Amino acid sequence: MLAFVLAFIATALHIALCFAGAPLLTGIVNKLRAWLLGRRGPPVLQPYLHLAKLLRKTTLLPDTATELFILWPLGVFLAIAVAIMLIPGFATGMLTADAGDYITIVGLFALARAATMLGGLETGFGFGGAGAAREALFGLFAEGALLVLLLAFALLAQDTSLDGIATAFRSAHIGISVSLGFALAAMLTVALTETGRIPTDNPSGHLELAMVHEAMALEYSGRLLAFIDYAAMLRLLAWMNLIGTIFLPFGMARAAAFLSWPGGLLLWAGKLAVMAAALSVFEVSRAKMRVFRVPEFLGAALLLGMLAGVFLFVAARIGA
Amino acid sequence: MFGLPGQGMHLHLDALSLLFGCILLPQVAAAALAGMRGSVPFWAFVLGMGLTLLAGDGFTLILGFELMSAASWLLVMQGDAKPATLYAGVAIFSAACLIPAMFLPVSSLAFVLIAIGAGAKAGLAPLHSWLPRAHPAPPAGVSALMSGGMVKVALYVLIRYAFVVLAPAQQPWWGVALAAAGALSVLIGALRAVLEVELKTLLACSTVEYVGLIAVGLGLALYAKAIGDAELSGLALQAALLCAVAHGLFKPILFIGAGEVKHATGTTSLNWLGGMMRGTPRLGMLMLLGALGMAALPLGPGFAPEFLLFHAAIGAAATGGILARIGFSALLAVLGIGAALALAAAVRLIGLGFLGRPRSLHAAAAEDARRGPFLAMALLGVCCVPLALVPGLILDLLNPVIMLLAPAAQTPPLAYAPITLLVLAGIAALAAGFAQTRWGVRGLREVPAWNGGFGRSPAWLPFGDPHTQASATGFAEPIMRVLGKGLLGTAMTDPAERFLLAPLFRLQTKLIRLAERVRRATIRERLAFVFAALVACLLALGLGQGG
Amino acid sequence: MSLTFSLAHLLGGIILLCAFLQLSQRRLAAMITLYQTEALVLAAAAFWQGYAQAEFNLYLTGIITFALKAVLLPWGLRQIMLRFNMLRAVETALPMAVSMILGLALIGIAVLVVLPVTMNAISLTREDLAIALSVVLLGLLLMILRRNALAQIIGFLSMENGLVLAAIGMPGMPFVAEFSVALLVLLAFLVVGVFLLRIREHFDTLDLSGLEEIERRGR
Repeated sequence: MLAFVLAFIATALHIALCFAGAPLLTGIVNKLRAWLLGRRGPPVLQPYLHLAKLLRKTTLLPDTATELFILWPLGVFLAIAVAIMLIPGFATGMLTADAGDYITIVGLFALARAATMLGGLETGFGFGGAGAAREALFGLFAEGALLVLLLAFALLAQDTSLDGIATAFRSAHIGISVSLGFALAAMLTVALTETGRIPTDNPSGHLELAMVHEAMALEYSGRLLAFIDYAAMLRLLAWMNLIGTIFLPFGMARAAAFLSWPGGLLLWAGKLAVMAAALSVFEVSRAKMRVFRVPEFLGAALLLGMLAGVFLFVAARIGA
Repeated sequence: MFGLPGQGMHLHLDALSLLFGCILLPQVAAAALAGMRGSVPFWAFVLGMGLTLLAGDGFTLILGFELMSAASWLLVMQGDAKPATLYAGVAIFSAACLIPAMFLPVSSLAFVLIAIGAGAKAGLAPLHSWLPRAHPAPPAGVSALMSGGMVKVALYVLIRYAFVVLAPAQQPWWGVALAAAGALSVLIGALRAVLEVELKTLLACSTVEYVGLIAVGLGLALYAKAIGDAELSGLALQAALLCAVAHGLFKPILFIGAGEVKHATGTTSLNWLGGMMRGTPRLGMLMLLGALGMAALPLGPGFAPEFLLFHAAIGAAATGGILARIGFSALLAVLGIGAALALAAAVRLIGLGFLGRPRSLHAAAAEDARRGPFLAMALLGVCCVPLALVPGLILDLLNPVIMLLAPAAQTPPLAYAPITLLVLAGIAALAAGFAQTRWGVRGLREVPAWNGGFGRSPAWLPFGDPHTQASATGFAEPIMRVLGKGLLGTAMTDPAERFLLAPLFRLQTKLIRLAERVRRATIRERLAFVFAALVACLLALGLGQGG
Repeated sequence: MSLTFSLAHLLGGIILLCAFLQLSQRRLAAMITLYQTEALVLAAAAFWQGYAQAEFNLYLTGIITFALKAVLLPWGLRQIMLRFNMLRAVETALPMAVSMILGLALIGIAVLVVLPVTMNAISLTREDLAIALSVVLLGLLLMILRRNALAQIIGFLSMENGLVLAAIGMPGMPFVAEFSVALLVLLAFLVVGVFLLRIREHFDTLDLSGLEEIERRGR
């Protein structure tokens, strides 16, 4: 009973922290990027103000849109929200652990992608359609790569739920492995694409022709845009949680052991800060690539994922 | 009554037949509701499928199967004569493979013949290229039953023989070959589904993809059964059977819906549709449900089978040597790309057909679905709900079938819990609603679309210039450029047509020329033929006696 | 598994990753950077092996690798690149996707070959050997798939890195052999540099397809 109550509190804490902290994370990344570029940058709390402003604005409904126009932002938000509830953050053993299979998470990201694309096609103008077509292309290899990666994780952890993977990787006997190195490279590639960061898409871009994610949200305003923007912030946090859970599981708390929580929370914040810093440094040091180079970029990730599986075979055969 | 002389006709009902009967039942009801009630060939078609499922001996099975083929050929003929010929050819080829296989002893050769015969009828690559031509031709109800039901009956024959009748001779390579053919179907079917412009052709290509998914599941199960992996065979069979159930429910919705689109607008080309959600909301919502299944998204009917299939592929990659590892990880990559392609195809169907601006006056003035087809689609839609929300219960119902096919199989519980996801989504929705009422303002104001700052379109174009929104070809262009050119070539022809059908047509032309020469032979040449035949016969006789 | 081997494997894995990514690059600058990273990691791997095997020679190998391949050669290659103004993408013989899939297939073959052949060897060096063989094969593939002479040189150098990786992983490999290999590479580099100058003088381009055309006609 106590264990259940503790797990419940841990889950609630995780969900509350994620929902409250996602804009802060985006704010930190934006600030760091600005610093690295030699600018002062917006305040760290700017994303909160942005969301509050959007909520107070009138929501406009384009006359060429159908009745489902308001459904798609909600779909994006709900899919990402459920995903972030399922991905462990500071602790393993949460109540949502059983439902948090890796493939379910991949499916939820796909659901969010589909809703974004339909939102882009909704008003029937060129930019949204072009953005949706590009997103469809990026999705191909991203999804393939994510699934191939699961093979390496499942073989190492003997489990396909994120919670199980984290628990297995936290115990030290996995060690450093070539396969996991390949898997990390592939996962980062996919994460950059899915969150719309710089080599594939520019989160702060304002040129319609060059946009992918932003182009699909072009016709949205007011609270619908708030949903989309908030979902983008949640998505960044979800991906950082995912990478942290799989590749940096050390020091994660156990939901049933209350005393391990403070350490877990602190380490979680530390890991997120490190990942935010790494993302900012990477983003300012790279240029955006051409749209038709992105499939090559993601194709390399797919093949790296397969390499991870192959080398796992070598490692398994020599008894590592 | 009928049957081989002296043996009679045996009927036999077991869990497998019952399952496929249950898959067929809602579709038959839907197709009848959708306007096929009065057609005699339609009921002959249904009778043929039923007889195949109930058959207790090879002869009855063939009888039912051929009745099904002949009746569906008549129905295709009513729609369009050209694909009907191709369809008849495939049906005859399939029969030519199946009939000898029924009477061969239990062996690998029998399996190969069954797989080719049933695979050709089911549209398994590389023998699939007739399917996107023939399935769209007949009226919508029949298309729905052909795509949702007939291919399942062909797969039923495959399952019946591969798992039950030929079980004593099973080899691991049977499964590997079947899974490879399935992976090829998935890739080609899904890719063509993204590229096709005609709605019904697109849906038929998606059928090829789903047949591929089922074949991958069956192949993995055969492989696992042969190497004695109890858990994997159970998982793969669950995936394959649930996939068959799901596809049998959502694909007929889409086909009947496509028929209604045709009725309302006079076209099924995505380039002439658009914005139909405004005029035909009932049709649009049901199509959205079907597309949710086709895209295999969570909370839709198609996700649970896909989920199981991925798990089965991962399980298979964990077995065997390095070649199995590489092969099955490639299979996993193909399945992932196929799933993303199916998603793109479903988004394209809904986004271009039902959202956005109308591309023609017909689409703008479309009237909603008629009562019969609407009831048919709604019936199937209601059947989708339990599959989408409680797939675990349906998997429990499949257990007897799995025990029949692989007695040693173990079936683990499903790790995908849609109800939990729904509850979590409800919590998030409540929180969002609270935030909005606390800090936000309500209300929507309808305004002209911003469209990146471009001005309004002129008054004589009520929906703006249709050419300024993405066309069906335009939406698929990035995928065409990256994957399509590599796999299908610039002309976008199916590789099966280029490498299989085209040589066949050339051979046919040659044979016709030969026959023409024989027909125009002089009397001397004809005598020589007869004489040569006589000598050859005598020679054979003599050699046979001597040996 | 001890830290010695896991770290050695990780370094080997990064070298393989660099070699693989070279295949996916179109620009010479990126390829040179990847080569430089590869050489840096190789030097680190040599130092690590020297520490693990307590072998002084390997430290020397590491120093030579660092000085020659991680500093000198990339600098030279960049000079050539700037002098010939080859900042744009170079032509590839096959589409990128095909070349990457070929690379993956080669790695699979390397693993397939190394596993049974070295069945009796010390088990922990086998993964290293598989990686080294893969790097050699990828280098060869790079030489075949790039039409540009400089890219071919990079492929050759990358291949040689694979050989050194195999050598440092084997306990008791004499230092002399490596030295000669390194010298050979430097020589080859000089020769090719001169060769490039000649090509440039004669044909005003480093695209070898023109040369192939002439060769074909001459036959």
